[in-house]
Order: sequence, then C-alpha cells, then structure tokens
Amino acid sequence: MGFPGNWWRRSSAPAQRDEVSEKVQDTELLARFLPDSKMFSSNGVRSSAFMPRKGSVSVFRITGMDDERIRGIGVAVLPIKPPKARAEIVAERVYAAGLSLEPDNKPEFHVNITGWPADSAKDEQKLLALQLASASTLKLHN
Amino acid sequence: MMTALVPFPESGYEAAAGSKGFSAEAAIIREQIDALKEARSRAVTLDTGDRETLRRMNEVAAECGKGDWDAEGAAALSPASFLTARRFLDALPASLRNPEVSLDPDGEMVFEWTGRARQAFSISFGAGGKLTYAGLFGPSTTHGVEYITYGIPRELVAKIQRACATR
Repeated sequence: MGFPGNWWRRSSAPAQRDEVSEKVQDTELLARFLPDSKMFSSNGVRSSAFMPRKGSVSVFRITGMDDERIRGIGVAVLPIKPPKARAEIVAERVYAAGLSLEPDNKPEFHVNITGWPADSAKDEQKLLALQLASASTLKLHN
Repeated sequence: MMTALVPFPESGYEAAAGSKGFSAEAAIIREQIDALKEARSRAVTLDTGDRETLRRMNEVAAECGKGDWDAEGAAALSPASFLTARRFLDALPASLRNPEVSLDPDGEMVFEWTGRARQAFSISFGAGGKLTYAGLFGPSTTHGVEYITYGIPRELVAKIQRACATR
C-alpha cells in the first residue's frame, strides 16, 4: 500500500496535518455521511447525496479504519443529525469523473470534492452526482 | 384506477398561508400557497403506484418544509418544484415504474429510477415546468433540460424506459 505516511493506521492519535493534507491517492477510500434517508434507498445511494453544496461535497478519508471509528467520525461531524448511512467511494472514481479532491483536514480527515460545473449547469452537476452515487457502496449505520 | 383527492399534509406552507406580509416576496409566497391549495383540492385519477409516489412526495414536503434538512444548509422544498413534480406525475405513462422521490440541496424535488449496475435516471423539477435530467446507461450518459408543456417530452420518456429496461 503506497499511502503517504500510513497516517490512517494511527487510530487514536490525531493525524498530522501535513500528512493528511497531502494529495488523496487513487486507492484511498472516502466516506460521504448521509444524515437523511432521502439520500439513499434500498437500491443504493441517490444522486442528491452527491449534489454539490456551495461548490463542493464533503467526504472523509477512511482507509484502514474500522466501522466503529468511521461511525464515530460521522457522529462527531454531524452531532445534531447523526448519519443514518454512508456512501463509500474509492478516490479513483472521483478523479475519473473529472472532479478534484482537496484535503483540508478541517475537521480531521475532511476532504472537499471540488471542480463542479457552475450551478447554472445543473444538468452537468446531476450527471456527475449520478456517476458518483452509482460508483459508491451504501453502508447503513443502524 | 380510482379517484382520489390530492393530499398535502402539514408541511409549513399551510401555516405560512395565515401570515400577513405585504412585501413582493410575501405576495409571491401567497401566490404559490394558493397554487398548492388548488392542487390539493383538485380531484385526479391515480393508480396504486401513483398514489404511493404522491404519498412519498407529501412525506418529503412535510419533512423539508424548512431548510437545512441535510444538516449542510440545504434549501427547503420549493413549492413551485412540488407543483412541477405533480404535473409530471400526472402525465407519467402507467407503464413506467414508480420513481423514488428525493430532494436536491437547492430545494428541487427529484424523481429517480435505478436499474442494474450503472443504469439510472434522475430528474429535478424546477419552477415553470423545468425538468433538469441526467442518466446513465452503462457506458453511455445523457443530460439536459426539458420542459413540461402539454405532457412529458417523448424523448424523456424513452430515456427513462431505457434506464429501467434492463433491471
């Protein structure tokens, strides 16, 4: 595995910002937390889960983390409306859609999916969101 | 087939209807509420699948009458979007599977159909009958904008059928 610094193996200690801010590698696993049941169904993740909010979509780097830790991150970042599920997607699929991944580590492990078409081109946004939803795996938090 | 009244549960629009406002925005909101009331009182013919879709639409309306339903600052459901979705449902051919109902972060209602792997079609409903769509058909894709005029554009129906055909 060729991830920079093996940061994800440090399960309890806070990751170093200079490490987690490095470029997201193709093989890294990302989670999009889904606090509302309208974002998914028994058929999988819906496109609305990946539609951009103010030009970006929030995801978290979860490679090598166990389920409990991933859920803990979800609850920490969405305390008022804890996630009911998450969409997991490999970074390569985001890059393949022509989008970018910008890690900012605010909060820890946070990455923005950027490079979306303008809001005036919503049909293009929908196509990309549909591609990401189709490429992701639904994990329920019940 | 049966005749049913279009329901619209408590979703915040009703409460807003009773408020007094004199600004241009208030007038627009009042106009939209009146349109919703008209839709509610209209007797329409619905089959079982349509009733289920309408029930889900009303659920979404009730849940998303206020913004931030996604905990990320999403807009509340747009009443104009609800009306376009309702017009679309009325015109949807019975042969098409019932869509899943969702909401975009900009407040537009969404119908989505999912087939097997990489087979999906999604329509967002805007004001004035605007239909913003995207679809996946295996390696092929489509996206664009259409409008409801005297029915759903035939090309759009064909695309939905294509997304559903191989399920």
